[in-house]
Amino acid sequence: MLPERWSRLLTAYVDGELTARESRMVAQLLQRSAEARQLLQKLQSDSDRLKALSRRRSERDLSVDVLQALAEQPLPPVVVLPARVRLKSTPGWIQWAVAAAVLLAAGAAVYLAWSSAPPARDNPPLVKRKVLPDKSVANVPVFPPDPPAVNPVPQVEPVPPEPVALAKEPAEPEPVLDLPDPKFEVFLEVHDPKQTLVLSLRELDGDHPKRLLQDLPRFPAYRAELSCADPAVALERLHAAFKERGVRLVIDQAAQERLLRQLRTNYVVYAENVTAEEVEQLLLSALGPAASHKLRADVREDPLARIILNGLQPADRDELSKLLGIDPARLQPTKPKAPLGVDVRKPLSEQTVDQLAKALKNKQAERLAIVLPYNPVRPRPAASKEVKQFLDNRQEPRPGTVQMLLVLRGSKS
Amino acid sequence: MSTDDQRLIAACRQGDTAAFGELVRRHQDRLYNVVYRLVGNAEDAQDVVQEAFLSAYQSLDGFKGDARFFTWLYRIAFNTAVSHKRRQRVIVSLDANRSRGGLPEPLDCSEETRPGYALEQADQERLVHEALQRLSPEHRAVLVLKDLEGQKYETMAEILQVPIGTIRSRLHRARLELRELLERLEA
Repeated sequence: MLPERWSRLLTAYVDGELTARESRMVAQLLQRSAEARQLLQKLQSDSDRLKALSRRRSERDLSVDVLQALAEQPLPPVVVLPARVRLKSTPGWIQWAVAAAVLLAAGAAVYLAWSSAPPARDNPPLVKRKVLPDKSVANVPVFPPDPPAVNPVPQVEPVPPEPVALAKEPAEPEPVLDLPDPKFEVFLEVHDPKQTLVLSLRELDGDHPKRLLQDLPRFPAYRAELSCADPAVALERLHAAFKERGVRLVIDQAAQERLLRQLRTNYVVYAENVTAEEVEQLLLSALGPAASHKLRADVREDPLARIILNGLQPADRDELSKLLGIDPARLQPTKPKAPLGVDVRKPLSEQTVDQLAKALKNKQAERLAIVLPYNPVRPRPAASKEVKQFLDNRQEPRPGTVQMLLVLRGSKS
Repeated sequence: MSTDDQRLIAACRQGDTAAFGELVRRHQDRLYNVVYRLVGNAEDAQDVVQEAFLSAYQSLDGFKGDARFFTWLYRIAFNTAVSHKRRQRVIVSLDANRSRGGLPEPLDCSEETRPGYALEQADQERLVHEALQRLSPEHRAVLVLKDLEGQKYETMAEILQVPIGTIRSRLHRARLELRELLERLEA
């Protein structure tokens, strides 16, 4: 078999894009290698067959449809980046006034964001705050309701019936300037390749990954990065998988809006108090053979879909804390005391009623996971009801549980 | 960029939608052919081309004129095709699975596939088309741009917004993968 560097030269030859030096190398190669000559002949033939494909033409004049669409549905005004030429034509004092106004607005926004941020909580509240129903877009279901489960997981708290999904808005053309930018992301880095598992999602079809985490060290917190064509589809799969395990996904409002508008977005999902086994089960049931046929079809069609698993690094924790708007120390995994958070080595009398109540509350509280937009937009945690709800609902870590961060990234981004 | 395109774009910017209609007529056939090979069927190709033209109209003020209009239009169409493909993926995959069981169905009702057309040539075309559709979108895109459109690496890099080295590398893998697929389909 020809070495890759030679086959690369041959394909570039077929492309007609060789330098003079490369052309000489190809000529020498063809002189001495029958295999190279044979491959080149086949590649050239394939290229000719592609070139010979008939030219297709639309059966109808598309200009009629386009003009009709323009007439029926006036498009929103064009968004153009501020042009320097225009600024030059404005008087100087206007530019200064605009700059001052922007600075004032930014300062006010920062002040409001800080002043409305949830106070640091060393001790989470005993009573979970009641979240009032909201008719805004924040409560619009972004995923269709799931069919009833055959063996539903018993819920500790009654779950209100899910509202019927609203019809999705017609897909808007995606703004080109709004695409995810890799430079924007911190989660891109893999810190230790030796402690990292990279798996194509197609491999999940086979018997190989019965245990995803078995080849990895036991981490107190895991980071899973899913690269796939459409993070929104992956999020839908995860939504169902989390739900099956009694974990409710709380989706930040900005993320909901992007899901509803079908805008290309990378997302972050963060959960606590899940066991390593649950992490495996979540990923496998969301993406593996157990996933529904419809969803698996999507994965099979996406050759770039892969998952990267490793431990959560300090830099990841810092980034996550920024997304949640909290101090990174609050995300440090703490050592669980004992089941229910009660220190069984001490007599009960030494423990406060509050601690016991908190422990019992933790046992019964609903487990939440938060979904945040990551790229090209980020959440505004101080203004996000969903982030607040998630933080208010945080519980003491139970023994054997881990933190789980999942980054859903579009492979085209 | 041709002076006709320049004139029509200027008219569009003044709000002349008829001028945009003329732009569509000038470029629709070429764009449709490329998109058809990308998305694999006539219906989707029409949707994507229409959507691409609407997107182009919407962002016409952002077109600086430093690239050719058609290159710019390509870029929009490729982005539109990718997102359209995502939305349609499940349906497409089910259709693809169904068609793999038997002979591929006629691709559309256009002139080339009507009864009476040289069968051998039609079969060859279907085979190549099917192989093309089984490639990943990235590989399909570079082959379409190179072999069907005869674009240079540099222009392809501009359209697909990736480095030239990536284009060359993708074409290398795409050609080898296409070879394998054709061998398998012909076996």
